[in-house]
Amino acid sequence: MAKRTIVPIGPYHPLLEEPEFFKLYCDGEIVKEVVWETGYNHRGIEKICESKTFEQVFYVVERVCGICSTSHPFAYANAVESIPGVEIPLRAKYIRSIVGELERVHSHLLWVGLAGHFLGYNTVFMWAWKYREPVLDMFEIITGNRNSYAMFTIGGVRRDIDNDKISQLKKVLDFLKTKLDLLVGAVMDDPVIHARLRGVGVLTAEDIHDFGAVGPTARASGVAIDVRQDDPYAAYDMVDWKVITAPEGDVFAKAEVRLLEMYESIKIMEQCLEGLRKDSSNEIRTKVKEIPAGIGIGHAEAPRGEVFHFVKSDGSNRPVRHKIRAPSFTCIPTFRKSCVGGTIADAAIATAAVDPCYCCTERMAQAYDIHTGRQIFSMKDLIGMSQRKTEELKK
Amino acid sequence: MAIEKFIEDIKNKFPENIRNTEIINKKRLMVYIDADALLRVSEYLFHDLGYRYVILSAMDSKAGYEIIYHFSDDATGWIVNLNVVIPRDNPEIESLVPVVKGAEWIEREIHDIIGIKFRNHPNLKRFILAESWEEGNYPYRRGNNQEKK
Repeated sequence: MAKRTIVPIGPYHPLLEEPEFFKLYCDGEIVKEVVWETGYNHRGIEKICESKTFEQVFYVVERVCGICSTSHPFAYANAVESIPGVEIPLRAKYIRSIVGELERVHSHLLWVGLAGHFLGYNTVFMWAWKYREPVLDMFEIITGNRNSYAMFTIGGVRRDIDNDKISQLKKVLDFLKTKLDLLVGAVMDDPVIHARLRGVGVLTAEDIHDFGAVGPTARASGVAIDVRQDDPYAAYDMVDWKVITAPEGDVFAKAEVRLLEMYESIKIMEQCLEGLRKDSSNEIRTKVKEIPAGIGIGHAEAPRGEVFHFVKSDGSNRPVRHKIRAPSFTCIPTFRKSCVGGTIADAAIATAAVDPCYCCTERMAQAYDIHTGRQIFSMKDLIGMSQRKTEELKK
Repeated sequence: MAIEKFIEDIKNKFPENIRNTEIINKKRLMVYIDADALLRVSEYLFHDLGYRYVILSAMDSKAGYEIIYHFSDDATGWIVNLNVVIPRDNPEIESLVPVVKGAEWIEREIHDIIGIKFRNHPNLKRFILAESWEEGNYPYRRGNNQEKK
């Protein structure tokens, strides 16, 4: 049998700096197999939820993930409100969608910046993160927090967006659009980025179905699934927008989908803001007295894909079982397809391409030769390898 | 496919194994099936109808250990759930991995937290619990050791 080297990526990911551990089994520079080890981040949130009241669970699930901290409350709200069949006020629907879309924009900008940095394009990193700031500021104005917004509650939302805030938000969106043009141009028109990302980490529509992958990962392989369209919730069936897909399935397609999705998010927010302005009521919450016994299944489209919540109630004031499935849970296993056959330098960007969130599911990189135990690559080396490959392409 | 037609089809296709069907909420269907028909029914949903595999939810309920297999029909927005009850004295069931590759992790997770053994699973080792966690202590079983302490 040929000699294989194990390249452990972890227990800290070089790009996303969260705990996770991959072992890449390599033959020379080519990755032959990917093995993943988890458990570094298991916090027993599902178990904790069983000891909280339905209302309190919102603030627990918000902490499943710091970046998509509205997606989990969103899916949970859909699940728990479906048990008594509560219809939330129109105003609350608009506000929920606005918070959800703002989150998508900030999350995608974060990813584009990191991916740029990883490829050696620090300008993209600086731009993306700079223009992410006004989005976070908007969060602070609307919800009072830059993160973990605590906006949702059973039957609606906790804070209203008044006319003054609407015009502030509109200004930020106009500003963002011009900056997005800049960013999209810098990424889409760059021949080096094309050369670096085209054909890397390819996933076919069949792989997506096999692994149950969702979100931009699926849409970049031509699978047009999006919960906002397939099973509309909040205000998504009242606004005009389209699902962005790309057929290629490579890392470039994933970047393209995320970049173009931000325009759609802005479109959705503009329509929701208009809806809010026209809506004269100030009702933002339906009173829900109790959650009867039953099963609630809710999902919502997070920046990374479908978040799925299963809630079982026995008629008391707390869930007897609460199952949470984050999108990364089904997207990460696709690494077995996207990394195998590629080089180590490509594996790093291919693993980052699904925008994995280990908090939701569950490090670099020190590589050792399995026979000598000698360290081959450090985290710096791996990022360096990826950046050098880009440099070579520039020549 | 309209849901009425789906219910009729699945009952005709597996007359022996479908115990009951129930629309639990708007666009949510629960299908109660026998454990030994799981792979055939899943195969029908996943391959023949092209439903998307979502996840498995396992719980310790009055009837025994319950696993709910969630599949999504993205064309209509319906979520079809297969409900299987596994007896407490013999917590074993066939693994879904030969049909759905993506089910590998969740079955390892369920094995960790509830202690259900999945036959023919390619790699049923510890997934999320710490290495030092004692064997045979399943945190999601009612009245487990952790709760008693």
